[in-house]
Amino acid sequence: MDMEDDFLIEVIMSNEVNQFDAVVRAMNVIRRGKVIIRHMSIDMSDSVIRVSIRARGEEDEVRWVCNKLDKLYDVVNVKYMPEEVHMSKMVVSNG
Amino acid sequence: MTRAVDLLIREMENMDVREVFGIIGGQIMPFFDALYNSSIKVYMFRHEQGAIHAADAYGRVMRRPMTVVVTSGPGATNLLTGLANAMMDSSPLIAMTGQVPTTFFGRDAFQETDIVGSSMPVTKHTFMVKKPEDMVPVYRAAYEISINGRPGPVLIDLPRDAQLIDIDPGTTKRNIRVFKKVPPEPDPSLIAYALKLLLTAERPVMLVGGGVCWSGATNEVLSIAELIGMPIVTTLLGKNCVPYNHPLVMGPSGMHGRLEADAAIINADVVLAVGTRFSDRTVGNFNEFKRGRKIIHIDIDRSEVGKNVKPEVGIVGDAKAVLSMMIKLMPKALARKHDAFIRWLRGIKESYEKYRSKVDTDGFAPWRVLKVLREVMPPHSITVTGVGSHQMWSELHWDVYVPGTFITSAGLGTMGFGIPAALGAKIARPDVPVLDIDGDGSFQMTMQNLALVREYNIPVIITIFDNSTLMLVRHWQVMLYNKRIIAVDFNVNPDFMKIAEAYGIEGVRPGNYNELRNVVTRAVRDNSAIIVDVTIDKEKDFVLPFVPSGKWLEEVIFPENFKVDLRYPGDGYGG
Repeated sequence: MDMEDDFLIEVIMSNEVNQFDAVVRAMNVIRRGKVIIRHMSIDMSDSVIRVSIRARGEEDEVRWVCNKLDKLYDVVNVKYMPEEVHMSKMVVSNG
Repeated sequence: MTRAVDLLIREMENMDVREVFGIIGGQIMPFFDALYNSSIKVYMFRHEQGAIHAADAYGRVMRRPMTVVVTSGPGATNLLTGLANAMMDSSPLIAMTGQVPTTFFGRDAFQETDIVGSSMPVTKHTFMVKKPEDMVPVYRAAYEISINGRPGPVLIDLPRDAQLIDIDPGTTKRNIRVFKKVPPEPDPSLIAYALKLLLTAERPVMLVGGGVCWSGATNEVLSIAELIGMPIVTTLLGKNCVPYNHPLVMGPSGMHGRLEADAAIINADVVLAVGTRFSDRTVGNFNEFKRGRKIIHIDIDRSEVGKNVKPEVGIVGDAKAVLSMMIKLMPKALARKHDAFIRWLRGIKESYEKYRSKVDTDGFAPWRVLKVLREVMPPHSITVTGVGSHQMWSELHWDVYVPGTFITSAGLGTMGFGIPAALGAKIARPDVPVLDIDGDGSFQMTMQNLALVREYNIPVIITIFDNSTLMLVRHWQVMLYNKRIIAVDFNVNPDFMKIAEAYGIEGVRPGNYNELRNVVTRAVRDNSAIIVDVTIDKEKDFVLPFVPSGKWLEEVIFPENFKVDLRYPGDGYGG
């Protein structure tokens, strides 16, 4: 069994038709992931939405959540990294 | 200035939308009003679930989305099953729902429901159009999203006031920005590694899923299998993607799969899986499936790679592009190493077919009914199924000759899919015979949509495998619940001949196989609608072989008095 770790997930979204739907859609994905959400902050300004998440779980499960988020049509970019690792380590990106 | 909804209809006409399916109601009346002088034909279904399953099938046949239009509240919520079905089977469609005016939002107005919120988990994307000038750009975006990459359903919610507001046509020219998911170019180093695994494997096997159809990769699948001499096994949706009469095609594996297909997987040391999400129904037990096997997984959807089965090599990309590159990198002269294995697999198929042909056939045997129907239905005809034992018999015994002609509800397993799917397929391809293989349980869930057969002249052939029970559940009760039969038998079923008559359709209850053959042959020849009620004895209708849920393929339950060893004895077995 893989080790559980703490990860930072950062999501950038954009939705010019209904901004808040993008957030709810992303939450629907996250709530189905086998990860524990320890902290989440959502910053909405104009049509850009930034979601920062601290999650605990196996890396495969964190990757699953990010891959599912990356499929959404309002998602511009998703990245995750182990919490202790410097931000420069980009593991998943649709940018 | 023009009503937003009139501009939407004009745009749909420009996009060559020729039909819509749906049911009218209060909050969607402006849309239907705008259709009044349009070239777009409305197919008025008798239940929204029927309309959306029909749209699902239409999308699978035409590879472009049908638009389903319904009202708010119950009209919208009645779409949810169909949305989930299309999502699970990656089928493109657009659902448009009327909504109460924006001023009433959140006030529990009559027939108000949050369909955008309700449908998010079962759609590829949703739009709520509050600004009338967004209506046309949103439709264009929804169309594009539904067929981009892995197809799926998109929902657009249209408040009544937004439909009715007059706007300047010039304001609808802009495009909604969507972040399209472009599959990456295949990675040559991963493909080279995958090839190395395949070429050094003792017994490689290809597992084909529904993604092969959407990618149009059937020829590439067959080419690679032929070059390596590798058996092809399919999922239930993958059955639609390769011709069953190809010598390397072993059919579907899994819970109600072919024994030769199960044997191929059991004995494989390398599995090349293409366009599949590794359903538990296909591989049985994930841990056993992974044990001792190297998996190469090709999928356009990054989130599927490693979701259920962690592969040795995961390649994200379009199946056709990846397989084409694989073919280019393949050595030109390859020794066929696996002929003995394939002969052994085909030996299992022959033993099973021989056994079936000898089994006592008092009354109708489901597998033999399928053989008779297959004989009389042209190879290019489209076959759809309901969900139940008849569907599992079809998985085992319906031979798909032309890829793209077998439509079933695989992922969600939606009873009631058959009749509307047949209608949708026939509307898409009126020149092609369409057969619905249905069960009496499944048939009764959407049979009100039979009204469309006469109303719009949609001549489909429907066969009911009529065992007066919910047979698959009964099967589980007998085998897994100590024969405690409850809540499955229909002690009083309607007379399906009278149902046929009520809808103005010819109904036949054949007494033997010849009569069955003759009536269906006539319906195909005359392009006429018919409902054929085939009486099946529920005490004999156990779909075997059967791998119980969560068990490994080797734990298959064989039919009575039949058994084969699914472990390959080695190339020197004398086959």
